[in-house]
Amino acid sequence: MNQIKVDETLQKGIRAARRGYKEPARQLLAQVLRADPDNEEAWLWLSRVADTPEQRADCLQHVLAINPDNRWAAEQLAALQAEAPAAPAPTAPPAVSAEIKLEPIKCPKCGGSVDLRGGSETKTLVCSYCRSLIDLTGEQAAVIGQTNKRAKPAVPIELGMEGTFEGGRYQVIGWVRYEGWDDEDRWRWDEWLLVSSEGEFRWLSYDPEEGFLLQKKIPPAGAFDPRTATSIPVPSGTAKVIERSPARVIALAGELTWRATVGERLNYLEARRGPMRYSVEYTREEIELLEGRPLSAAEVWRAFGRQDLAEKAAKGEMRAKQYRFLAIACAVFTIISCMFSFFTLTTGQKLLAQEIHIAKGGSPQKVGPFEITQPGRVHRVSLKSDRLPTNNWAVVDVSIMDSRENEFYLFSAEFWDEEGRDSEGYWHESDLSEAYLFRPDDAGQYTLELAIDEATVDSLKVEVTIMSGVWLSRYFVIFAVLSGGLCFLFFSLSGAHSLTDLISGRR
Amino acid sequence: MLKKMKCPSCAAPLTIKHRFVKLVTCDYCGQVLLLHDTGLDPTGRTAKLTDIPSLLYIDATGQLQGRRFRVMGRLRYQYESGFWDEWFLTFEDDRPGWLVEDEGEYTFYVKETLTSPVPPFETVSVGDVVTIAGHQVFITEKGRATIAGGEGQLAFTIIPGEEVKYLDGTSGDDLISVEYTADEIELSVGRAVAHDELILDEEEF
Repeated sequence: MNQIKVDETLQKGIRAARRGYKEPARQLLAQVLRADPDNEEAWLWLSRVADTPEQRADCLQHVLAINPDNRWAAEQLAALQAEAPAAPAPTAPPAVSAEIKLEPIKCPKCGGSVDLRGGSETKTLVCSYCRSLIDLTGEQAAVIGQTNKRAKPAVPIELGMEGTFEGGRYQVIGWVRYEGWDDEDRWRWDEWLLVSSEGEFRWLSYDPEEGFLLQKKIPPAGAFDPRTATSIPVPSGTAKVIERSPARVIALAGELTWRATVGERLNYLEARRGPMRYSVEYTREEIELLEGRPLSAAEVWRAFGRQDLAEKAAKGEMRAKQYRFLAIACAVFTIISCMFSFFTLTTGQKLLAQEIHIAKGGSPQKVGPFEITQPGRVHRVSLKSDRLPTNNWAVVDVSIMDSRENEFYLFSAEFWDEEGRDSEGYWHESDLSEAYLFRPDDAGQYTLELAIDEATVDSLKVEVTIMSGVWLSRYFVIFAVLSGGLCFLFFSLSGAHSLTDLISGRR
Repeated sequence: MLKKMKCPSCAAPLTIKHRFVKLVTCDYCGQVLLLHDTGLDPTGRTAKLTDIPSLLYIDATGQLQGRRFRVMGRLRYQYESGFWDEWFLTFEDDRPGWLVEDEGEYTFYVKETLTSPVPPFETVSVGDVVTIAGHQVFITEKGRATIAGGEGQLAFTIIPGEEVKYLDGTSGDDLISVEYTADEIELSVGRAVAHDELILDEEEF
């Protein structure tokens, strides 16, 4: 082996040692030492990957034989000898074996061995044995709190579960439960941190009302104020803000990418653009934007290989789809019924239209005569008063008389106009029209008599219209109320939150 | 250019690997050393890092957006919510830069020369839009960090324990980072690196 080859092998051995590949590192460094037995660096690095204290001491003694000034080697050797005074005499480079793996983190509280899957991105870790919250940001792992052992996510997604999302294989490494609130309500949702074999991170969230969402962190596409913005710039344009509230962490487990603590507060907003969902988490120190798509429960469980839950979710989604269809059908019936009930106001043939003046205390005013040719059909009398002076009213008695002057139908029509002030300010309301239905049994000539019963005005001008063969609106109204009620019921069962959701089929 | 030297603190061998290197951390005693014309000066600070695995490592080689690189060193910044690591990369025929990993997404930053004044750190808030060296920057993060440690070899003389005030933001597709230290203000402009644009050389051990 020439000097260049020795240097190359040494560098390769050091790289292997840095990455934790102890056995290959030992073999490469041993090769260097066979070619260059006085290579101080090779002995130094070999001491770091040695399997036993004896082998380590052996390497350090070689270092000191080559370079007696090497203080680090002397200190390391002294420390070793303090632990085990009888270090063996120098021998040939040791042949040892070790597993090629990265060291797990030891819980400083219970000593449990916890695997670190998120690499250097993991800043907080919850011990899976004693549930201590371990801070990994310092020189030494330190317990900074305790988590609730009984806290569990709303759906059975557990740490260590593996799933295929967007074509990549991910493992669940962390979980956080948040609570958000406003003046009227409090709500909770779960978020899981997923890491792929390539080291990519995703956040999977589940809200009982919104369902699942898979998001990744992206840089903001432009400036916005998260406290007031009604829309935010995103890579494809602008997304509409639909929710904004404060939140806090109420439970956590596994590994997280920041120094997470229970009780930690943040503010967040949710925005939408087409099928894409955006979340912004903001504090005084940072604004973070996440982008992603909603996933159906069946998609999530299939991704995790939980066919049982996927089938159950698919059935639920099918039911929700059926409810959505029924809700839409009922909504259409409600709209049609409402339209028909308004249409009834235009039905019928005009028998009479007359304008009369009625004086207070005067004799009843006759209207007509008019001829009824369709006995048994529904007729309508409509009265429309001329505008009343403000804060006045009048009650008019209306009688329908047959040709023998027999009164067979009597009703009172009330007209009023009022104004006033309340806590919301000035108001002005009036009701100047009335309509009544009647069904005459016999054909013949009829008249109407109108007289003011009580009033704050001296006279009243009223326009009277009589229609025959009108449709009754009440059946359409009843149908509209019934189908509206069913629409509401199916809408609730479908899990949709808005008409847009209902139509688009989103949850 | 490999230059063999000895750590003035523990006398262990050191190899200076690049002409840009100004600061070296001894692989053995952890002493942070300043590289001068006359040799290595200990700073009296050590820079040990908690051993947490990462995709990158000192001396790793590979391709970043088609250019051959070598990982020379790493700096760890500690801030209120944790820490982040910045990896110092050198290239065969280009300016060195910093690769920063945040939730699995990589950004590669290159230092840019500041040609106009930068707003004082205290006057800027998260959510502001400020002009920095001609960039309209939307500030997304503001904080103070301490250099918690480092390893390998670096191109500047920032030492453990030193406080850094920083502003991070976006400007179109660019990611902007401004670091204020006691002695200087540094501007770095970065671009997101797709996962398939960062390829580490596979080593058969």
